[in-house]
Amino acid sequence: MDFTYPADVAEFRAEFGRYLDSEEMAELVRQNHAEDGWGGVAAKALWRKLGADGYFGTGWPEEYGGGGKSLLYLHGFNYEMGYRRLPVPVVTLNTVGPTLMRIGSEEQKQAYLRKILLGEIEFSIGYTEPEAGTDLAALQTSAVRDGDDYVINGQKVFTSGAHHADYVWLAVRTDKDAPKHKGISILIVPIDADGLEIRPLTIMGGGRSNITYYSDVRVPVSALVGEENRGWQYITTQLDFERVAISPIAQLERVFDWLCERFREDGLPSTDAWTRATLARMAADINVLKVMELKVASMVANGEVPVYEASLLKVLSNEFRVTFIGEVLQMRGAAGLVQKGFPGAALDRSEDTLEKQLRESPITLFGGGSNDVQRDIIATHGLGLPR
Amino acid sequence: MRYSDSETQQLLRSTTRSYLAAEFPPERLYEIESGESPLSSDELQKLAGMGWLGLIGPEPAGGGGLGLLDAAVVIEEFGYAAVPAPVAFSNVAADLLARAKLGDSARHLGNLTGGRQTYTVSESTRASDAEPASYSSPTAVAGRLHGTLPRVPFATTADWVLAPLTLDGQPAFAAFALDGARIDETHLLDRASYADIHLEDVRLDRATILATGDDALELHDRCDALVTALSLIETAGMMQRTLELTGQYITDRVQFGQPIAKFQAARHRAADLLMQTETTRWAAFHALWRFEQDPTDSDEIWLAKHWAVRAADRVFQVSHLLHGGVGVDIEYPLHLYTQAIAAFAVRGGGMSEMVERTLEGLDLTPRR
Repeated sequence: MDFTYPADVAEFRAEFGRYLDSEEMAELVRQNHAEDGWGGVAAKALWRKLGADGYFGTGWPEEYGGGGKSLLYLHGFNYEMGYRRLPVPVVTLNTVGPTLMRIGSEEQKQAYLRKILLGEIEFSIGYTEPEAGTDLAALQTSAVRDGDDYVINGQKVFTSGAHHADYVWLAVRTDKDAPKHKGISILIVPIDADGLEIRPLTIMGGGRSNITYYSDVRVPVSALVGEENRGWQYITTQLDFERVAISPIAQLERVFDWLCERFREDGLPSTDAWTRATLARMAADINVLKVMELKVASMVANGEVPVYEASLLKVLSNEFRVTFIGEVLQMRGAAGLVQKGFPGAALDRSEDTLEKQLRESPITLFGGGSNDVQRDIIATHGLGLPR
Repeated sequence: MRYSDSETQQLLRSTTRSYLAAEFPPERLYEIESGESPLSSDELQKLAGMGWLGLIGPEPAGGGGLGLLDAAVVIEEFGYAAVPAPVAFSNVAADLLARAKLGDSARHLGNLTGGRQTYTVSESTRASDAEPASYSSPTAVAGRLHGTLPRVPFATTADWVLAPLTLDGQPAFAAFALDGARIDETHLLDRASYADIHLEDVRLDRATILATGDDALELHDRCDALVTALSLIETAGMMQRTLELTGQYITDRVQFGQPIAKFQAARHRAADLLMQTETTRWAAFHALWRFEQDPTDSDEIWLAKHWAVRAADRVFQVSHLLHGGVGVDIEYPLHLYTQAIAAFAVRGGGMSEMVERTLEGLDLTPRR
């Protein structure tokens, strides 16, 4: 066992943190806080700046223009961004990029990888459908070969980011007669393709997601990623970067640190037993989440696959999050319910409100695989229980 | 950064595991637990012979010279095997003796690591547990010792106990000889060996003063931190075995025509059991590592115990729920683990103490 955080990664984080807090970045950061972290014009401008300054690729291999550093750099990058409530193009950087590196055609690598690292292009994920959520492999959107093209028909929901992305990373059924996991492929679809319609789906947290409709959308065969009908494998095995990229702790620590600052300003009432006990419990929980987050990150960086460990971190951190925000609201009282833009709204320095965080918090319970599925993964892969 | 055993740790773990499995089969553990035949001095001598009672003592003094994390791996295996031996406490004593500046601590350490005498330490009583009114902390006035050390682990077989002392009104830290004290054996929930140690007008020279003043406070703090961290790790070993027993049981147990491990409700509870176990374990090792890096930083130890106290409750409930009646049969090993896990959650500083220590660590002192 060695829990020493590598000095070079710590140095990178400190340097990157100073960069984000610098005068030079202040306006971009402010615009992103105003945009509320869901992507858009300000996010794109920030990503281009980060890409141009070389911050996107530190954990990518050198042959694709990256810095060739340990994946812990990626974790550090995500942590520093998350702690400041700045948006990260998670899908583009951690799903699309790494998958293309492994199985993309030479043409695709040339067309996309460099632009991704420069923050010039953004992908949206088109997986979920009205009848295919947790059971994703039941997806029905079809792509049929017609000469040198695929013709796509169907509907996707929660195509987040589609309204400002350049491409959809689309999961389609290419063989309707095969078992459901063996007839899925991945296509790269330009967002401005004829027949692709995007409609907004406003969500509880205040951000926008989308419903996307595909009516005889044509893409060339060269849009196929990897091999036909092996899409399910690509979806489920390209998780390393995603696992290490997600830093649920940064956001929680930001709120907890803010809360502690409030108590340092106002004083922690010695007679408020509930607040004292709850605050101590929060600190203990966050400590455990930090320790486990570093376990997952270090495993990935060491070339190990944290199958159930990543699920464990996900379940613990997002169940904690929902409870935690609720309890922070209790500590701040009804004033914490006031929305941004109204008198007395309690904003942290990233212009975030507690009530908005509570509205956002349920997403993580199911996003990226529901906690119930994660617990099954833990039971099977962590404990070896029969399915 | 690597969250897995080093080669040294793998070797320590496998040696300890196979030795304990061979020397302490379930039948022997049941005898110890029931009080029918406690851990014998012969068994204790063998453990000393393996070097496990003084793993952390410096090598020139005959100690094992191991770092805290390496020693912790051995202690974790004692938890895994449910062998109630004073390994954690003896090692804390070795660590404290190696740091003591006063008294004949080198001779004590040599006796400890050489297996000639056995040592234990008292656990934290900072949270003012509900003690009998007649119990008071040890004091020395005019060369005479008075006071009580309640529920000292393994005091019935130890020769010495290390504990704080008020010496002529000043803080001190001492090793008390047990043959001059009244030892009242007492049984706790976990059925390990404990005793109340009563010092009733004992001559002060029956104790070795190891430190006074700030040095004594430092040793006391270190004692509390190390006992807590190493007990946490021993408990994590117990939780791990509880998890394995439970996973095996629900895989083998058939009801409604299938292994109950196939029912999602049972799977999810088992997943929770695993999560509580792993998090307790890694929080404990991480905290011990932090403390080894910086002995003034014990914050993570209290945070880890705060988590572990709650995890202990979950592990206790879920493992028994999934085992059903089999789990409470005293000829099945689960109770050896769950009783000790539940006792750990209260011993040596329970939740109230962890809340206060954790808040101290957050340093919420008002800025104005």
